[in-house]
Amino acid sequence: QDITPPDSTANTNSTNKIDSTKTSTTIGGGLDFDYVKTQKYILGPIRIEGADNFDAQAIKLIAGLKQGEEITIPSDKISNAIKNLWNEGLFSSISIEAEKEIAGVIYLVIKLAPRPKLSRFKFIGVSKREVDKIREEVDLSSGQTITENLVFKTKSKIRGYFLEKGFNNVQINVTQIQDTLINNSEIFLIDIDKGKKVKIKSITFEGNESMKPWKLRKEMKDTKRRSIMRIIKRSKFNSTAYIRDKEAVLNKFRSVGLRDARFVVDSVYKINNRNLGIYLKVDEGEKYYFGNIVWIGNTKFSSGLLDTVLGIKYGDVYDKPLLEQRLKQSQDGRDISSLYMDRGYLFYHLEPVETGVVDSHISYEMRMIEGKEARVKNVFIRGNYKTNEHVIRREIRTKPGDLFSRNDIIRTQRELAQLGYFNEQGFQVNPIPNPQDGTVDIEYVVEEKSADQIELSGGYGAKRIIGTLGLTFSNFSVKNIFKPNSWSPLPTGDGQRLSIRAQTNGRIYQGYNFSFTEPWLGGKKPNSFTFFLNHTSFAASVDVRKKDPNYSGVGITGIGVGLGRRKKFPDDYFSAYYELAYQYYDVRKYANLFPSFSNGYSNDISLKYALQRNSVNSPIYPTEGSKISFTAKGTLPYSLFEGNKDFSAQSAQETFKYLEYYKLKFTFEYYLPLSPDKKLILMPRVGFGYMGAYNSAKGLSPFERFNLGGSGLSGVNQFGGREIIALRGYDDNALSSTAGDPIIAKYTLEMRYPISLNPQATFFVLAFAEAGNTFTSFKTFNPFNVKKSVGAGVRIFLPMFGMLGLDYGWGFDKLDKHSSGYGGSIDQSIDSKGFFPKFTFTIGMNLGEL
Amino acid sequence: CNSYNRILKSDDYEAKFKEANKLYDEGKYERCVALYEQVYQRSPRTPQGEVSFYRLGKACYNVEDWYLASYYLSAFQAKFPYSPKVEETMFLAALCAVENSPEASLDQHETDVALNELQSFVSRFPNSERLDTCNFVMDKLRLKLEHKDFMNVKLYSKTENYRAAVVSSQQFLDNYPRSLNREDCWAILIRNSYHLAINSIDAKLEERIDQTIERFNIFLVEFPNSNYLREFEGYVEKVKKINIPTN
Repeated sequence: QDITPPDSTANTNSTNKIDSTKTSTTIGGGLDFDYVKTQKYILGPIRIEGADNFDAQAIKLIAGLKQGEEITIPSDKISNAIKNLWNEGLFSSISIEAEKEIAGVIYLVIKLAPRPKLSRFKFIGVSKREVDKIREEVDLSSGQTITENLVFKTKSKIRGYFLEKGFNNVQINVTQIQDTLINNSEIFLIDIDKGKKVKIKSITFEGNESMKPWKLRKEMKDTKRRSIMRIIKRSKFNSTAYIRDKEAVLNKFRSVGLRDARFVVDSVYKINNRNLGIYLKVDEGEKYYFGNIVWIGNTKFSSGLLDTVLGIKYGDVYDKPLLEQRLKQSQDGRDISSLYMDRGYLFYHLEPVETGVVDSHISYEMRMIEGKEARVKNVFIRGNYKTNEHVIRREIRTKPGDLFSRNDIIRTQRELAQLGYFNEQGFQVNPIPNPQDGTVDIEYVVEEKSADQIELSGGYGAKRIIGTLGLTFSNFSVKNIFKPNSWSPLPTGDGQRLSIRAQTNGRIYQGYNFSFTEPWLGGKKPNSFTFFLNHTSFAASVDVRKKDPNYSGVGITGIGVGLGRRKKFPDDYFSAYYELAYQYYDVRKYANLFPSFSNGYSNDISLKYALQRNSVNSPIYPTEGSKISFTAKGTLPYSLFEGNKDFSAQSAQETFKYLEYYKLKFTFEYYLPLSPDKKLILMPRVGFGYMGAYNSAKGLSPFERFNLGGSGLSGVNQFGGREIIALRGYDDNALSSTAGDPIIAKYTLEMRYPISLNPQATFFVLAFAEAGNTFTSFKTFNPFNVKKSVGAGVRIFLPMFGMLGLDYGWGFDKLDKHSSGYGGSIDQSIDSKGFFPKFTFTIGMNLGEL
Repeated sequence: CNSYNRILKSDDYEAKFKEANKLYDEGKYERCVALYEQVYQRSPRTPQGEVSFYRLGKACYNVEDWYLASYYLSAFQAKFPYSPKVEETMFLAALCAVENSPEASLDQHETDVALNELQSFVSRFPNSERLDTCNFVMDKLRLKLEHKDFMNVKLYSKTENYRAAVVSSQQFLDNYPRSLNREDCWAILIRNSYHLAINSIDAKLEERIDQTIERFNIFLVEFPNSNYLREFEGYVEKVKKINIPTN
């Protein structure tokens, strides 16, 4: 006799229901059991049949039957065993039979038929692309046990998926087919009929007296009417989004003092198979105003000051979101909580309590507990698997013993981001308060990213193929060179920067650069030390070797050291940089680049000082802050020591054996967020440069002058020894004299918007308007005589390659007479068409230094 | 080589097991891993499976693949809780964690894991003959954590963040009463107390001078013969001479 599960078919039900008049019944092995008089047995070994894929031990355990225990048969022990097994949901049939009985020991068999398993599943009626997405959604896998619930769950998940997409009439049918290849398994055939997409035809409001319907519809971010103009966001009905959007509409009412506003009728109705209608009737309720606001418990700040920060007066229209914002967290940092949080009051607590409503004026009592000033106890750093802790810790502004300050944490976060070793989106700062002793531990969790850049490129320039190999390691460690296990792939961890770059197109052009920077020289103060070496050479012809007396070309070799200091005065955004550099120019019978110095050599020993204030908040896509810099560079005025000398009698070689000049530069750029989410950014930038001679008789140095126009890329076409500055919408160097000019002015306005801020590939678009010019002397200098251009472009930042950019610009102004491009294609184009179109490709952050 | 590949692809699990054992005994750990993996997958609940899984862990341990070894060895005790090898695998798993523990200047998450694993080994096998090794290794790890903390104290001192140096050195002295760096840490504390005092604003000057003197006195009791004494006496003399402005 089978003992089958309680909720299985009715004809073979559990033992209890068997007619008790029948005194005995036969079970499996020919044993008689009396249902009136039960009998005790000892359980012998239990055999399990029909469940090869399951652990026999586990099944016995689930059934609750143990060999050697005493069992009464018949009793509910057996039916419970069946129930327990049934609850597992793995079997479609369960029976327990007695095999034999020997001397009071009973041998049981548990016979199981496992439920069919899912072998495969197929979708019909939807495209392959959709199938892939649904597959992720439904979470079916081969080998799963098939239950009613599985079928139901699958259907409802698919339905949910299509409802989200606006297919409200979706029909799903799951057919189960026996799989003949695999035993006891079935195939799901999932037939989906998407039906027509349902859009929202109308959204009607009623009862809205103080707010126009279009304003309310604007608040509904994901519930939109159908329209031809609706390109960005499709019109579809999604119930969760609808609930959210209704709340947003109510919030809109609340923000103008209608805090009792509610929907009295809320109806979504079907117009036809493809269209829905939404009807919302609003009861606006009474209009409220702020009443008296009383501060209680404030000792650190006066009530007057708190009132000012809050900025809400008696009689202002009641606006709960504004109140919340001013109390807790405001975008511009104007809120009561940052007032306290930035001064160590971490345990500060404020409870705004409504004390009454008089004449629709709501009065508040601000009850606050200022608590103790919390001081920082420990600073923990986690997540640095490559970067040595001291590199991070020395940058952290919240130091043990300091008052807790939220502002310091935000600043630290920004400065760590600027190191460039960490994922900007991956930072976590966890303050862990210890209220017992009034201290707080601060945990900084960083996520390291690869900060190394490799540049390996081939290109076509100056009618020859050019190859570049560049490597930049921004988290290098000299100390770890001899520790092999810190090589990954190079020694890392000390935050030093090492850059090696070579560029060549064979015999015509060769450029080599090496630079090394230690950001904290000596480890005591953030004084950076830089050492650099570079060499570039340019030959006029491939065939003539350097040793040949007819060789024509230019070689420039430079070496230098720099020292950067962070300043505390006027504020700690300032930094200064000093550089001592030596450059050797070797010009051999070559007049194209430096017309006034076509043959000879020249030594340039210069000292540079740069003062900068940088409060830009992110190196790659800045959204706030400004950068202002002043640079002065100069050589010694040798000619002053030489007294009155007739330079005109000298050869160019004698005159320029030791270069003398001074150079001043000023730049300013500002990042202004235009949208509340700080994505749309406006960036104005201005720059001026001036290079002068100490002795007018000796004349201007042939090197180091300014060249303006084009992409600002230095390379083969724009050879070193001068300062190359971009002006998009014009040809390279087209605005300046061939030799370069001593004075420059440039103005830029850029509007930027990010497409992706993912650190793996930051991508943004920009539109620009710029203007600039160079001038041959102070007399001709006119800051308004500039050449204008507008255009648009894209920038993409890849951690391995750095910033790459592509711009398309149009120049609008004819060039000045001194310009090398004067009367050329630019001017002709502007004469005939009114503009000059130009594509520019850029590498790097800045387009030149202005 | 050919025979190895043939066995690897064949369905003869006895042969696989035999070959794997042979390779294991010969010390060819990289090659036996694939075979043991197959044997274990085939019959995870058998004695063969047990041996395979144990040797998988050991083989990875021997080729110093600490992460993989730690995975197998720590999973062993959950899979075969009654095996006599549990003690050894738990111990080796802990040692893997120790090997994973990085230099003190990096994130010490793995060190904490290692300490926990060693601790649970000690609690489970309090009579193990490996106990001495455990204690030795744990001391070493703790020393590393201590060293890390001390480096931070030194960093604050070096970068002339006097207050941070004072606070963190005091913490260090509280946290590590038996540290070998105590004397040096005291030196940092007193030196920075002195600098904090002489650079202090008037309102806090008196308090900071008193603190400096008090700290020196405590130091004197703990290290009466310290080499630092002369330096510190100089500080104390200097701060005593400072006129405290009365307002």
